[in-house]
Amino acid sequence: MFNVNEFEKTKSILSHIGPSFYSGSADQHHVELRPKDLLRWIEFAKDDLDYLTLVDIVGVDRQRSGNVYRFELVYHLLNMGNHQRLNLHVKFNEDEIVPSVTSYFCHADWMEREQKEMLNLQFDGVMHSLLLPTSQSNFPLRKGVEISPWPLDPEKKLPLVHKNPNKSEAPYPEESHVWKKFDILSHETSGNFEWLVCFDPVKAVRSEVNIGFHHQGLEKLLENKDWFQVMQLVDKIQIGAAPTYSIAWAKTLEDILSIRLPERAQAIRIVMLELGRVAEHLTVLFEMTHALVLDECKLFLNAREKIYELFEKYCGHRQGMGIARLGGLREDLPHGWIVEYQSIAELLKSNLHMIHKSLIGQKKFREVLSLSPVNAQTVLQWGVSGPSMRASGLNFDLRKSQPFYFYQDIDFDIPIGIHGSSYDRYLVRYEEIHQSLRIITQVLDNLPLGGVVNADFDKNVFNLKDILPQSLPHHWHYSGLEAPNGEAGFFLLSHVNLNPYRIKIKSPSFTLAQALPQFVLGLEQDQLVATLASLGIRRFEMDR
Amino acid sequence: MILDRSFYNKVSPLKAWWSRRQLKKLQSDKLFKAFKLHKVEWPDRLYYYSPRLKRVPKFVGTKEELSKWKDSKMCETICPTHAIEVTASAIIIDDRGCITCGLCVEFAPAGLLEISTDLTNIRRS
Repeated sequence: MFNVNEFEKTKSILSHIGPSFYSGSADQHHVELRPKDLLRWIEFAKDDLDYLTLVDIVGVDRQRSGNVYRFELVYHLLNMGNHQRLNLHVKFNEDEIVPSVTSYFCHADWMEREQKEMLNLQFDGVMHSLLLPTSQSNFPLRKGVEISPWPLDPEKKLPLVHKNPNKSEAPYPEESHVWKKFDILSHETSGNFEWLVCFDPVKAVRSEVNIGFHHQGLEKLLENKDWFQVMQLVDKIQIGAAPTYSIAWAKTLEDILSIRLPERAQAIRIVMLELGRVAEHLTVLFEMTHALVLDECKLFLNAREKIYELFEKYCGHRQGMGIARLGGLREDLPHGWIVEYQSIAELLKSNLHMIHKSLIGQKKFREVLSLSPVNAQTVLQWGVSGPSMRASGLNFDLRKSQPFYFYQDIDFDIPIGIHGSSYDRYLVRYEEIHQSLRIITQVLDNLPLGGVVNADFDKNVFNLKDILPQSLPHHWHYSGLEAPNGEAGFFLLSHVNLNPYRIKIKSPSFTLAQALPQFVLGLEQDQLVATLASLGIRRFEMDR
Repeated sequence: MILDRSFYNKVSPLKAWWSRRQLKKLQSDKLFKAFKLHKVEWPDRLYYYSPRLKRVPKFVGTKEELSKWKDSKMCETICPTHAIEVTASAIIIDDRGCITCGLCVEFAPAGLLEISTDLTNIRRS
């Protein structure tokens, strides 16, 4: 749990070291820096203050606000021990070079490349393009620039390995090694990304992931939208568990404006988040069993269909889209929904138990999935979060560490694996389904009475500007929650009007896709797909 | 190639499919060659959704209420995908854009709009 005394301690340390600006509020520290001090601070934070995880890097073009420095990069670090977050704001101008932090955090590589492409920044070190084609000449997230259509003749976005397959050089250490390419049309990657795997003719030795095939320009698009509109558009980032992102966005706004939620709305939001988690876990379990050609896979889909029926009866959409509103929810639970849930939950529990028994009894299932264990150190190094992290034995869950809504009053457990193999990931996800059902049952048993929307927001959405404070806080805010596959959240830099100045979506799939090569070492070609499915990489989370 | 929804409602689906097929044959054989029209393929072709998958807002008030409705621009501006258009006689919805968020229903006066499975007011600009 978050401790105030520890926070004050770190606060006094940070403010006495002498940054040009320091502020600390809630559970977050903010420090302003110049690029030359960055590496010194990162080293200090990682070695002395135990900020072992780099959650995300966010860049912004602050041209309009009339600052001395045009660009700002925010390095968001997380301390898993005492649950504090440190934001390093690096401010600089166009011609300055920012040092790369990849020597301290391996997974900063993709984050830096993304910001470099979007804003045309200069990092030291050679960087290939990640998301955009190499011939891209305009930089989408700069202010006053519109997104251009995809260029007609882009240079082929392939790594150097493929252009010049010289067998004596480094990528081909031995003659017997074979590179295989799973492109976006192959069933192995299910249309998500391009995957190059190097087999020592049988087992995978090394692999590379190329993303950038599902462009939406979502972050740029959302800058021109209203807060209300953003809440609706954000749903489709993860279609399997749609309430997650809209509730995360609503939570971000409510934290900034300190809007109090009615108790009933908090309870129903927990129910919807957990239902989404169950649906997503069932999808992942289906994909794993489907990859191993087991007959049980259809049973998982049937079980998920029951969850979608519940969503449909609540809001009309099968995946539960568009339920969140600022200061509450769109509507109350319909009459008879709770009884419906109880009958479905009992069915689910007994049926899933039977499927689980029959799966565990199969030797093939156990042996194939427990082939490539990943230890906790690797997982920490690559910034993985969620069930994939917990399967390696790290105990960190935002529902326990920074409990929001009613999570601290609910009795539930966090399942943790030992070896970090796909089998452990299966077990963790299976147990989390049962824990989620346990949470929902507890909440529905003690469902508070009252409305589902804050009284101020109930009917007069028209004169919203009268309700909101006169000057909106013009500073960074981050708030996240535990999505099915990891930590999801929003960085928001608010502006004078209702349009956000900069939104950054923090999604678990981006880091998972980057860490994918670590998870498949030593596997054969048939066993790759089950491991990939167990991570739960979703395409719209992964691409920008 | 915009199809007529009411035509499908009147005639039985099998018959409609058959006559539609005949018409398509005709078009592909003669019309398209003669006048050099280009076929309109997906996504510009209208698609008939199952009611389970698609719901759109529908106007359920009277015509007087529609003419008295002053801030109908609010509905158009709040729509995240610009899919709704309010004219003097009816409301028009672009089904490619509509994501059934229900914001227009909330921002309209009570009882004017309603989310339904009726797809008769779909047009594409």
